[in-house]
Amino acid sequence: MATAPTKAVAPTKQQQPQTRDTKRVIEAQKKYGRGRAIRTHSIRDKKLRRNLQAVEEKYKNAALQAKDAEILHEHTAGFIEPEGEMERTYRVRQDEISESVGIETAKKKFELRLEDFGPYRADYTRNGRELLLAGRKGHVATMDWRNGKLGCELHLRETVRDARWLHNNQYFAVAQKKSVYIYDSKGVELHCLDRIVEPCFLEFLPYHFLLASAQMSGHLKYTDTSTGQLIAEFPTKVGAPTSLAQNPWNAIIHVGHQDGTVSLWSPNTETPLVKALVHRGPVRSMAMDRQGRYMVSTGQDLKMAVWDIRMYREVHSYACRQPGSSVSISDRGLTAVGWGTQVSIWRGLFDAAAANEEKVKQPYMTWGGDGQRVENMRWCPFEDILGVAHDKGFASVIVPGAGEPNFDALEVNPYENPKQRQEAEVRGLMHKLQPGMISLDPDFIGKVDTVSDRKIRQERNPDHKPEDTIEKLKNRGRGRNSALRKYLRKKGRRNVIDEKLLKAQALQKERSARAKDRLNAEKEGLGPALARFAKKDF
Amino acid sequence: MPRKQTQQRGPRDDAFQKKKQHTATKRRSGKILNALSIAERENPQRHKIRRNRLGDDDDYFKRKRNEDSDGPDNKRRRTGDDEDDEDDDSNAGSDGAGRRWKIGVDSDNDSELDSDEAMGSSDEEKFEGFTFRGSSTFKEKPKAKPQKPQRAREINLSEGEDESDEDEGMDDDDDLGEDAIDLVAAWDMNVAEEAAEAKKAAAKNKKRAEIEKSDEDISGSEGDTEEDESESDDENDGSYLSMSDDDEGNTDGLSKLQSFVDSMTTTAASKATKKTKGGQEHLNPTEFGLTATRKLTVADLLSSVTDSRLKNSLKHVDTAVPAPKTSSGIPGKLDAPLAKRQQDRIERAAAYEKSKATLGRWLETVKANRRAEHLVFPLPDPDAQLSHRISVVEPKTDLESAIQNILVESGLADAQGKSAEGQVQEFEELQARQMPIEEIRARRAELRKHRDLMFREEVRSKRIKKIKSKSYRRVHRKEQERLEQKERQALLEAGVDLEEQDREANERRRAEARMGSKHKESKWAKSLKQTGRTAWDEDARHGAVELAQREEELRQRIEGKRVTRGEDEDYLGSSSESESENENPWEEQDSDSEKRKLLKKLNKLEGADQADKEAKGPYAKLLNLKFMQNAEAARREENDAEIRRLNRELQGGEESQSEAESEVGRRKFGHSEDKKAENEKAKKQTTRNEFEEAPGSDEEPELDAGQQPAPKARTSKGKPQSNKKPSANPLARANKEVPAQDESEGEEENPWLVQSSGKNRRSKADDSQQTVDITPVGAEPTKSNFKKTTASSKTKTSTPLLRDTNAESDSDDEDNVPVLLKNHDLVKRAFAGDEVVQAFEQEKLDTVKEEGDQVIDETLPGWGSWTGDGVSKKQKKRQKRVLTTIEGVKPEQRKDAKLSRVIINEKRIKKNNKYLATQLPHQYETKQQYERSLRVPIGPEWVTKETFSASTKPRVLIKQGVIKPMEKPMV
Repeated sequence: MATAPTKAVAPTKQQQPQTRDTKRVIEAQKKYGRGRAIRTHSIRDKKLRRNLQAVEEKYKNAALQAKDAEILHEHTAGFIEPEGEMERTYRVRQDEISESVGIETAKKKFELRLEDFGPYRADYTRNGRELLLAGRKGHVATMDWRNGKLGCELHLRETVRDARWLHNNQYFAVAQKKSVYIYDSKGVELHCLDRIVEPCFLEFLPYHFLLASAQMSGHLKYTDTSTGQLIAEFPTKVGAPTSLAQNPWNAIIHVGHQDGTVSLWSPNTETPLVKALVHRGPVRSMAMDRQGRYMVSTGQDLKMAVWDIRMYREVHSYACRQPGSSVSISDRGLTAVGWGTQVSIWRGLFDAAAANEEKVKQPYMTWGGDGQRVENMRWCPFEDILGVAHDKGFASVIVPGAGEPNFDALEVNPYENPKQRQEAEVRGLMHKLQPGMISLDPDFIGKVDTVSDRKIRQERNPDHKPEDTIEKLKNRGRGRNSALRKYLRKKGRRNVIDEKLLKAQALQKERSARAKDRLNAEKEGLGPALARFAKKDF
Repeated sequence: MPRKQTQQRGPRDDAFQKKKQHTATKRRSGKILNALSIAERENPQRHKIRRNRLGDDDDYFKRKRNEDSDGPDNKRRRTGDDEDDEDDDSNAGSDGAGRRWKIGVDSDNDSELDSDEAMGSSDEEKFEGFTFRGSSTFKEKPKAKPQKPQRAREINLSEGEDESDEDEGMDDDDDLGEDAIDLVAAWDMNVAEEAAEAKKAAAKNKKRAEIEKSDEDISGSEGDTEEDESESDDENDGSYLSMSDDDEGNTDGLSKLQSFVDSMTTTAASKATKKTKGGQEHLNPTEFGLTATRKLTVADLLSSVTDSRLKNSLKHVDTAVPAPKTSSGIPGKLDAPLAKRQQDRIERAAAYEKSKATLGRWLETVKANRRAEHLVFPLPDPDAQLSHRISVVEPKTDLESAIQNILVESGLADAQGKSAEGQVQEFEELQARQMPIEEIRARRAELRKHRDLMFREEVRSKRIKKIKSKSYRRVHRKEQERLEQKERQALLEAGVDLEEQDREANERRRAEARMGSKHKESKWAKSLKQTGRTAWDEDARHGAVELAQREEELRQRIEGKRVTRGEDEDYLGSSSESESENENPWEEQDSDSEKRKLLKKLNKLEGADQADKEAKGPYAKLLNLKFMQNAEAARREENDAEIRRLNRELQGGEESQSEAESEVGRRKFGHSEDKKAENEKAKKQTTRNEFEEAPGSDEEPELDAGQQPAPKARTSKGKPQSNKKPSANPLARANKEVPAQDESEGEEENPWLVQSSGKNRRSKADDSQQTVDITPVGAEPTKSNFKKTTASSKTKTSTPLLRDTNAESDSDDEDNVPVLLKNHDLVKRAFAGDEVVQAFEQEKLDTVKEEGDQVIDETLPGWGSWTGDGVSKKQKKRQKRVLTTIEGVKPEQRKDAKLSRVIINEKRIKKNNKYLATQLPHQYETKQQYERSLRVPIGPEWVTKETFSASTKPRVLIKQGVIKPMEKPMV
């Protein structure tokens, strides 16, 4: 990357800033460079070389600027660090944490006792402001959890299997007994998606405005929430799904099945893109990390598996005491696993996998053990908060270092006002990605289609000759129904005389002449008396 | 003299005008002259009044200046020309003979050409019999000059003797046609391009020589017709002339006429003598060997000057004279002009060259603009980009002027209001402007080097100072402390307790430290925390680290730990020398070692000095500079003196100290060594505690995997959930039985089990595929403790223990299998009926088959053969099968070929295709180039604002204003 100096440079002081500079460049390239640069030296075309060099220069500057812009990340993340060798971070209890943190942070730790309609499922909005709780027995509530303000509360009086916020805090979808319903923030029922029958899991893709739902029957359905259309529905053919999750990096939906397989779906194919046998029993839950590199899944077989979903290879495997009912991965890579009544939070699972090290042996933090069966968990975005929904309500747990400390207000703004929310909604709709853009590799857009490229290249080749269909006809079939005759019969009656037809006609004439000759020859051979028995050949 | 020049130039200038004139007028002038000559012949009395004629010339010149291009002036000019015309007439007359005409042309040819070039092969054939008069004269000339145009001029000069001047030439041209003059004009126009054009002309002449014959005829006939025409025009012209004469009616004109007539008669008289000289036999030789019609030059008269003084004064005149002739280097006769078309072509070519050259100047600008990433219209004015220098402030008010005066008086500023420094700077700039850029650059580099060298010395001196100020003092302080300690010892022995005082002193020191700025609660520290400067500011980060260290230190101090008393780091001074870090703190306590270190440092410095000297070898040139040498020598001397002093002091101190306290030191050293060993031991122990598995334990999982009796089975105490497992309780009890176990509290909560501790992932991945061996994390410290206590009889003790624990377990098979492993087995058993793996493998096989090559049997039964019942097998076999294969993905080329538990779909996803480029875009050579060039997204979500705006900025920006075309090339 660094160019060798062509000129002799004074050895003393001048080099120092240079090396620092190159170091800075290398660091920036490593973090923001997006892979290797183009090798411009080997390009022979001068203009192309110049252009690409300019492009490379631009990209280098972009990386450097991105590196420089790190100044704007005013917050830094930090974890609980043990002071001595004997200290264990997982022994730190919640009350200890809430004592030692600031009052405002301590306030974020709370618990809701909702024993009647449990078990609950929870979901945070994308900016982490609002919380959606859905009890199995029909209790649905939204709230601004920081202020403790209730948004709306519904008693649906039927089974609620899942609930999800849509693109902002104005709408949420609830998977009810028969179909999916969409409500607004006031709790008014807006839509009933009756084409989704007996939904059991919901997942919302925010950039595509797609609501993915898995049915009891094993069907996976994509609904466009901006237009209301059902984009795609696929039968998974393996029975009722046991879990559903999305990969935030490439918007691929992972479906866990009863037989221990996880299948990866996009709305573009009838068959799963990938199918992997992850567990021996039903896959209870899955979660993918933000960069789309690792998947953590728990199964009924008392195992927690860490998969590298770039190579589709299991990296680590942990054993649990109880089947993990829920997994969730925070923005900064903390993995919360709920098993039974307990929650364990693991730190550095993926770093260890990436660095080719042995696996982490101790959890970072633990919670629970109070007789509340964990149903599902969500990390609150931009907060060090883990929301644990269990059968007796909901608990908000402080986990230092979990959330992304710096937010991009143009992307998701935790402090947005209604105006900004509306603008963000419009912007989001305008920037909406098409379902066709979902692929395992989201960078595929704009790349060269090798198949069509090869075809076009072939056609452009001066030596390339188009296939002569008539020549092909000539050698196919004989007799009354030969291909040539058939062609003439079908196409020859038209009033369009073109080269093809003329050629076919000439061929036909030649063939009939040949047949006549042959007949005559045969007749001669047979003699005048027997000539009448000569075999007419078509 | 200037007059002379103008006189000589005059006719030529006129020639320019003449070329534009109509041929008719020329002819008319010829007729006028004829008339005049006739008149002269009639009045032969007033001839040979040379003085009169000269005066007339004066008059003529004046008038010419005054009236520029008036009618009389024209007439004058014509009078100057008339003799030539007469001459022309004679030439024309000789046209009939043809030969003389030809000679004239030939000489002309010669004048323009190199003698070599002129004699082309065809020419040689043609002119075999001729001698080149021009060239011969050229040889005779003493002042032959190498340049071509000058050569032409010389030839001219030679003909100048017989007074065939340019005027004559002009008139010849006139006779030949106006095109010839065109060429001359062109020649004169581009004096600079003369050389180049001369070559071209030479080439032309060659051509011309070839077409000469035809030209001759044409011109001859033309001449004839012209004569006729002129005769017919005679009357008109004559009348016109008379009219004009009447109009003027002044004496000047008359005198001119007279002189002219005079000259005419003389021409006639000296005809015979002149004939030998050349073609212009009609010309009149004068006293000085001049023809009468020619204007007299100073040079002509010089030969007659006898007075040496006068000659001297006229010398420069003599030299200056030929100069104007060079510019009008036209020989007496020109070759026939080219055909119009050819000339046009040549002109076009020349014009093209010229325009190409001018356009070439724009090339760089155009290139630069084409390559520019962004263009802004209207184009920015390049002059506007120059920084406007702030002009010196002029004093406006009285006060200002008074101050200015004072400044000037005191020598701080000069009269223009510039300060002395400014003047110097200005002067330097001026100087720099005169110097070539390379020299300036070299000078700058040199200066930079000097600065570097100075800097190095400075750094060195700083280092010395630091050594002196810190470690030196520390050594001294230690001496003091030692004394104090002795005292204290004495006091203690006496029975006085100093402990409390000490503590108080420590407290005080801490309080003092807290007062310092770099304290946790200080403003600075808070600002650090608040702004998060540590993230990017190196200094701030260092500061923070230092702060943290000091904090720790302080705390230790307040706790009165031993370390603090021994360690005598300054509270406020900057701590942590890099050298001291890797050394044993115990050793450091010793003053001897301290001193040694100091000495070592000093030595190193000296060594570095030497090295420096050597290293500077290549810069010997630089060192040769005197001021550099002086400065450096001075510095070095200083530094060396410092070092020497330090050395002396140190050594002196050492001697005295070593005498006094050598015993103590040694004792201490030994003591410290002991401590060190102890310390190390402790460390080892702690590490053993920390890293949970001892080296031996690594093997155990493998043993487990090999279904051998596991030496240790561990589990936690058992939670309510895990109580279901049958063997949990006994195991827990077993754990309790372990004697050295005392910290199972923490592990209790940790149900996560370690699988293996392989060092790299691959092996682990394999392990995880098998996932059989599970050992709980929590028990490991116990194990290590256990190991520590019974290091030798590890297996012995562990096996009975296990036996104990497993005594109550259900079956003997599961004796050695840990609980969770058993769980795993249970799981396996629970899902045994599902045969998930087989199903999966089958599915994979199916997909491989489906996506692989597919063979389609297109045979139609009964087509071309018999089918149905009664057809023998042989016949069936004989039937030709039509098979087509559709190529798919080969099983070994599949992405999941090596992944046993994964099926990856290899089908092309058609819906994604519309977001792909159908072909490699133009200009890119490879797919990779193209795809890599798209790797950075443009959107504002992914890049900084600056990058975004730069990448989306349009190439051409049009701002308000008038877009004018570029006036001059900008690059």
